[in-house]
Amino acid sequence: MTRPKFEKDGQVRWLAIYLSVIMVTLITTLQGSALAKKGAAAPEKKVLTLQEIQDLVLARSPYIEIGQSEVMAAKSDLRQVESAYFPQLDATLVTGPAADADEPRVENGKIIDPSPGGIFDLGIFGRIDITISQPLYTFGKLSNRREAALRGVKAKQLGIDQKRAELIFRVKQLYYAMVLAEQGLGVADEAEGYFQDIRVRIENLMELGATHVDESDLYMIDAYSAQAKGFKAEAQKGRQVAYFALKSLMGMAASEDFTLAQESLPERQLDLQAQEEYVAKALEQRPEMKQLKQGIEAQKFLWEAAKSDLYPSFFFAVIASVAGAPGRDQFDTPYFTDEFNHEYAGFFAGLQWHFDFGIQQAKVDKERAEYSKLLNTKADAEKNIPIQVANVYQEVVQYATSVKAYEEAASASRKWVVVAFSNFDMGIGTAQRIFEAIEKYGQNRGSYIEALYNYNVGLAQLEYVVGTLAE
Amino acid sequence: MKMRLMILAVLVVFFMCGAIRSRAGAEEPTERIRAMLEEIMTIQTDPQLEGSEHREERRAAIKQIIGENIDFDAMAQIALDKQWRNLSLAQRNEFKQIFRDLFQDSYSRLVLNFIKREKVLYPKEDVRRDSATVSTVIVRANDEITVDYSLSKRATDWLVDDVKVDGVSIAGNYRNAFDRVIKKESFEALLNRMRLQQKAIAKSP
Repeated sequence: MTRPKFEKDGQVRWLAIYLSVIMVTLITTLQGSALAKKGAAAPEKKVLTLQEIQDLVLARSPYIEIGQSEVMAAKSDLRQVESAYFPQLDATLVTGPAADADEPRVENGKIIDPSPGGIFDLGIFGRIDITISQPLYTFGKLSNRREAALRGVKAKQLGIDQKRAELIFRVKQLYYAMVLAEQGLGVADEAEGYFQDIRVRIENLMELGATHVDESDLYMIDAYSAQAKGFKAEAQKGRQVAYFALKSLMGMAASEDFTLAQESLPERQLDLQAQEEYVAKALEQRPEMKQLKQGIEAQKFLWEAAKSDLYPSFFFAVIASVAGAPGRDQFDTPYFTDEFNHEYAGFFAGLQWHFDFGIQQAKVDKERAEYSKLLNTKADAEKNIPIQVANVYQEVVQYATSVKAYEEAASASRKWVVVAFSNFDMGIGTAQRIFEAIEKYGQNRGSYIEALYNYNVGLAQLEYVVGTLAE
Repeated sequence: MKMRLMILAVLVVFFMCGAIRSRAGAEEPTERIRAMLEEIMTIQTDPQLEGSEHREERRAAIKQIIGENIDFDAMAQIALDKQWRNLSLAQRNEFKQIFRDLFQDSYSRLVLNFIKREKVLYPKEDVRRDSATVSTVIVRANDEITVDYSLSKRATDWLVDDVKVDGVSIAGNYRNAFDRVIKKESFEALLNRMRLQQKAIAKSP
C-alpha cells in the first residue's frame, strides 16, 4: 500500500530534479545570451571636436614618430662629434703560444743562448697594449662638425613642426569636408521632403481636373528627385571618405566609431592683413624656410670641416704595454724588447696628417657644391613662396566674397521658395515655379556651404603656407 | 475732502493697475509666439513622431497649433485689401472660409519643412496699443532665417495676422498675387482656383 506513495514521492523528487536542471539550464542560457548580447553591443560613438581629432592624430601619427626618430638620429650624430673632444682609449689583448727562452749568458767571451730548442718547449704568452689619445688642435675638424651637427638637430626638429602642420591641415580639410557632406545630406533630405509633398498635391489637383497642373509636372518631380538622390549619393560618398580618412589618421580600430561635435562650418570672417605681411611672415616663419636656413648653416660648417681635413691634427697620447710568458726569462735591457715578456709606458705629443693627390680637395669641392645648391634652393623658395602665399591669399579673399554673395543668393531663393509654395497652395501659382525655386535654392545653398568650406580650408591653407598653423 | 482723497486714491490705484496690466500685456506677444513655436518643436522632436512615415501626423498636429494662433479672417481681409469692400457678405464669408483652409494647410507645411530641431532666438519685440511685431531668428546649421510675426489684439488674446519670412510678407504677397488675378481675370476666377485647391487638400487632409 505504501509502494505507490513511495513511487509517487520518487516521481515528485525526480520531477523536482528535472525541473531544477531545466531551470539551471534556462538561467545559464539566458545569462549566456545576455552576456553575448552585452558583448555584441555596438561600441559607444565618440563625439569629437576638431581640436580633439587634431590632438589624437598628432599623438598617434607614425609620420610624427618618423620625425622624432630622425631627431634622435641627429642627436646621436651630435653626441658622436662632441665625444670626439675627449680622450679615446684603444686596448688590444692578445694571447698565444711562445717558445720558452732562458736568459743568455756569456761564456768565454761568447753569448750563449741556453734556451731549449725542441719543438715541445713551447709555453703561453699574454699581452695587452693600451693607447690613450687626446686631440689637441685639429684646425676646425671637430668644431665645424659639431656646429653642423647642432644645426642638423634643429633642422630635424623643425621637420617635425612641418609634419605637424601638414597633418593639422589635412585634418582640417577632412573635418570640414565631413561637415560639408553631412550638411549636403541634410539639404538632399530636405529637397526630397519638398518633392514628396508637392507630388501629392499635384496628383490630387490632376484628379480634380485642374488645368494648371499636368503629367509634365510629375515628370519634373521625378527628374528633380533623381537629381537630389544623385547629389545625396555623392554627399554620402564624401562623408564616408572623410570619415574613414579621419578614423585612419586617428588610428582608431575598425570597431570604434565617432561623430563630429559640430554640425556647422565656422562662419567667422577674419579681417585679413595686407598680403605683403603674410609673405614676410612666410619667409620668416615657415618651417621649411627655417629648416633650409639651418641646413645652409650646417652645410657651410661641413664645407669648412672638409677644408680642415686638408690640415694635420695635433694630439697627445699615452701608450702602455704589458706582456708576460711564464716559460721565458725576463731580459731587461733598453736595447731589446721581448715582445712576449715586457712592461713599459710612455706619453708623447703627435701630429697626424693625411695627404693625397686630389681626394681631399674633391671632397671640399663637393661640400662647397652642396652649399651652393642649398643657397640656390633658398633663392628659389624666396621667389616661389610669395607666389604661393599670394595665390592662397587671393583665394581666401575670393571665398570670403563668395560666402557673402551666396548667402544673399540662398536667402533670396528661400524667399522665392516661400512665395512659390504659398502661391501654389492658394491655387494661384504653378508647380514649375516651385521646382525652379527649389532648384535655385538648393544650388545657392549648396554654393554657400561650399564657399564656406573653401573659405575655412583656405584660411587653414593660408596659415599653413605662412607657417603659423602648428602654433 | 475725504471723498476727494478717496476718489484720488481710487484713480491712482486704477491707473497703476492699468500700467501694470499694460506692461504684463507687453510681454504677451513674445510669450504667445514662444509657446506656439515650442509646441511645434515638441512635435517635431518627438521620437514617436520621427521619420517620413509620421509626417502626416506631425503635419496634422502642427495644423491644429497654427489654427489656434492665427487670425485667418483678418489675414484674408488684408490679403484682399481694397477688393474686400467690393464683395458681398456671402462672398466675404466664402472667401474667408476657403482662405482659412488653404492658408492653414500651406503654413503648416511650411513650418513642417522649415522648423525642425532648430534653436529660436527672440531678438526684438515691438508692442503698440493693439498691435505687435515679434522678431524671431531660426538658427540652423550655417543658416539663420528671420521670421517676424505681426500680431493684433483680439479681445484678450494676441493672434498672428501676418508672417514675414526673410522679410517677405506672406499676407503682402497674397495681396499682390490676388490683385493681379482679380485685375487680369475676376474675383470669381480667383475663388474658383481656390475652391479647386481646397478640394485637392481635402483629398489628403
